[in-house]
Amino acid sequence: MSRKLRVASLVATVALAGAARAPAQSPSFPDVSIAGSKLECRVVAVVAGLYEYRYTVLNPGTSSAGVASVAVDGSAPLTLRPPMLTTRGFFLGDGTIQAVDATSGHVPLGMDVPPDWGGTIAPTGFVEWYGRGEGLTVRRPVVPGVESSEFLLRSTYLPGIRGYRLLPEYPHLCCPFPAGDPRNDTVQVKSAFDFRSEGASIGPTYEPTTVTIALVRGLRSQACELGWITKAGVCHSLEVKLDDAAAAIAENNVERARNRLRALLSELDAQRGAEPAKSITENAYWLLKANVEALLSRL
Amino acid sequence: MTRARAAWLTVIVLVSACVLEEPTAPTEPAATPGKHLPGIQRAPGDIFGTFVLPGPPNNNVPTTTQNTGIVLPPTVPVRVTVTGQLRFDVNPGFEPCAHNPPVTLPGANPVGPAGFDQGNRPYAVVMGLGDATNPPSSAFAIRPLSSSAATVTAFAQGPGVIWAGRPTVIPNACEGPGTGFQPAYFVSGSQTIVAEELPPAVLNPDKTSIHVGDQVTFTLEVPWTSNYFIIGSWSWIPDPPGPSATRFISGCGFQEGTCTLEIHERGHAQLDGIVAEGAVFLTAVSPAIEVNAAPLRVELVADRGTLKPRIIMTSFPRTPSDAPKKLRCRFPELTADETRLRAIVTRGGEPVAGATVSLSTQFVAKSGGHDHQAADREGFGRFRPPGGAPSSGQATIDGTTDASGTFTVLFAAGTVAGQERLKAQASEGGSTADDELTIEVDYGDMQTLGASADYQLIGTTSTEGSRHLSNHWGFAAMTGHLTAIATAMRSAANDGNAQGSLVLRYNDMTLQRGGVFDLGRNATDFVPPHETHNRGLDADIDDHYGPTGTDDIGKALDFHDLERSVRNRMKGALIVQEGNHYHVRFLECPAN
Repeated sequence: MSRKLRVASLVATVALAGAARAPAQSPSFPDVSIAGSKLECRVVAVVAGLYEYRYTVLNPGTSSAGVASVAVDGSAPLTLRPPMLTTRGFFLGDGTIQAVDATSGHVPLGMDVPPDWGGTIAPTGFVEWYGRGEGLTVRRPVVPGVESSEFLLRSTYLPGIRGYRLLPEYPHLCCPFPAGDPRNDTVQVKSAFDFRSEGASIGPTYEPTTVTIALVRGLRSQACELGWITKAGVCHSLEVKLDDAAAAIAENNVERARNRLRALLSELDAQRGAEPAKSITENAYWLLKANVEALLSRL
Repeated sequence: MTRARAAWLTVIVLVSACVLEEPTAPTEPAATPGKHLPGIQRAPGDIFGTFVLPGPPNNNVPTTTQNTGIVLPPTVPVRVTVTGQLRFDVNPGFEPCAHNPPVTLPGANPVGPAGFDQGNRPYAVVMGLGDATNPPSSAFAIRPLSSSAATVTAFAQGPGVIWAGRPTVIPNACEGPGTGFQPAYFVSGSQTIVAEELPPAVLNPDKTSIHVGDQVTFTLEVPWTSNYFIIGSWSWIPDPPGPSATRFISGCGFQEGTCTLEIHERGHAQLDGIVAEGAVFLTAVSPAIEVNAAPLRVELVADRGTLKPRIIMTSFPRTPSDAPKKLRCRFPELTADETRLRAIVTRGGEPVAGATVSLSTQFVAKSGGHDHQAADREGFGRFRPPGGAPSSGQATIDGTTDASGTFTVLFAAGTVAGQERLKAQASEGGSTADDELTIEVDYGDMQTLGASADYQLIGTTSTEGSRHLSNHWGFAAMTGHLTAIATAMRSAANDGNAQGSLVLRYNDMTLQRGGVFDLGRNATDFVPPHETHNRGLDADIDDHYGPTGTDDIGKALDFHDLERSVRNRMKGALIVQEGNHYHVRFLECPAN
């Protein structure tokens, strides 16, 4: 086997185990960190009949590398691989269609890709913005201490809770030892995946006609469990309103149901923001607001 | 009254002419002895004897059947020729006596040995074969039966002595008072009989010196006539007499003039019962066929002419995530491929046990796309005995044949695809024999990556590439991936313009048959680096774009575009940077 062949692959099958670290075996593969970086959906707006999801990447000043890849789970059953909706900027291609080993389809999607970034849909159904450049360098990453809100998805689908993955810049591939050195064959090669940051946000998930009061009750529960609604009393209050609305619907009392859902939207507005005065994060706010409004429109 | 008497005498003479005359012994040693003395070998064309048969004095006198002294030996075919004419002149004294003219002669005058042209052929020379004292009981058939022919021939066969005479005449005479006896014609002239030996019938073989088991075809020839037929049969006579393993192959049947035999010992062919010219019974014999000891022969036989080692495409063992990344899926195993090989040693078609056999292999020059290999060199395949460990393979192997004359080994393909020329040398009893066999080694059904405006094909004219003039081969799926990636990357390289001028540059992939893709500085090293390009799954992509249609180098390639383009075709593919290019392998690696 060639001693020049060195692994530095960015393979999508890495276990979601956080930013696992392997013991450093060579100074040629430095460690980097984007711990604490995260992705937040700060707006879900209806524009021209589509839901626009506007994401913000936060890379704390404590990071040692810029964020060079932002990916949100947009997966759907493999049978669902619709054409792209309106997309702006450089879009490389749809891996769910092109890959021979695709494992997912994706929900209806369009995306806005910032300058110096590229967009693609991976064979896993993840929608990715990735930094572009020359060779291994990225021209315009999200550097430490900076927020970037340049990432937009549009879809016909309503939000659900979705995983995301951020990758740091990591301009290192091969090889830590001189060519021909047998240690190259056994070294633990590192890649950006080894320093990834993962979490949950919201993203297009539900076809609007499939949204029910029961589904919204489930989303509320998950938002509370994720800590997206930080006060238990607010979680309970929202639960009571949804339970009342469900009971009214069961009694075919549409007006009472509408009233209870409007009251819920008012509470979302009132509690939107951070502690100590507020208790509902942007992810939870837009998750519940978009789905409840869609539900109201069909009552 | 005189006229009446003459007529009566004529009748008397006519009657007497019909009586078979008593034969007489030769009156003179008219037969000229043959030129060979007893005990001296005769030859075709020899004259057994000559005899002059004198003419009768007049037309009323038959020529007595007499012993010519020409002795014919047994079995020898003989042509008997009679030459000469008898002239009949009218007797001027006849008509005054007979008061009638002489009878008209029925044919040419002078008349030849066939006699006159009427049924009993008067004055014909009648010959037959008797013995020293007894005349023949039958006559030779002479040809042509024409009074004008000055020469006639007949065919005969001894043993016996030729007798000849002219038993038949046309009586016509008169004897009256005062005239005395007056024949109608006076006769002058004589006829000469010559007996000539003819060559025997022969069986002509198409070869006279052979090896045991060779086939020989014999063809009958009767040199002096084509007027013959066959009533006998073919046979093979071993010399010296003894048991025979020779067998009939084709022909050799009833009335057939050719015969093919598979001959296993010295001897000759024989055909009995050839009847020539309706008169001569012949036996044709061939010259002796000399049989030499059969040469030693060795034949190499492979159960399969093409060996196809294959990459194991699935079932990689999963490697722990924190294990060193020298993963087996990066270096997947190849299935070994081997064939049974037999060297079969024979002599005259019979197996030779205990013969020594040496086997070796050579890599055929320029095969497998290795244009740098100008001459044959030691092969890469390995021999081992059946049951031997796969790791025990050797470049050469020696052994001896078993009772069936066979030396059996296994031959495994090496890591270099192309052609391996296997050679066998057998030796036994001081003689040797050689054979060779070409085995094709092919790592897969590669397809070539054709030209496209979406990419450049490079490497064939570089220092290394010139060693492999065709370096862009891969499995069909891989060439499909590369085509799609090039399309996506052309758009990426040109800011979204799918028809922009910057395109990928594809360098070495795999050789036409796969196997080792050597890249060393030595022309014939066949060693890494570059060995991973052996399976139709790997490609080198230059780290700079090139303007399409030129060999120029454009801007640096964006690894991040390339990586996504590759993963969008196969999410498990590997991408590695190697100096001035990226190495891509389209192989799922679950351990990653």
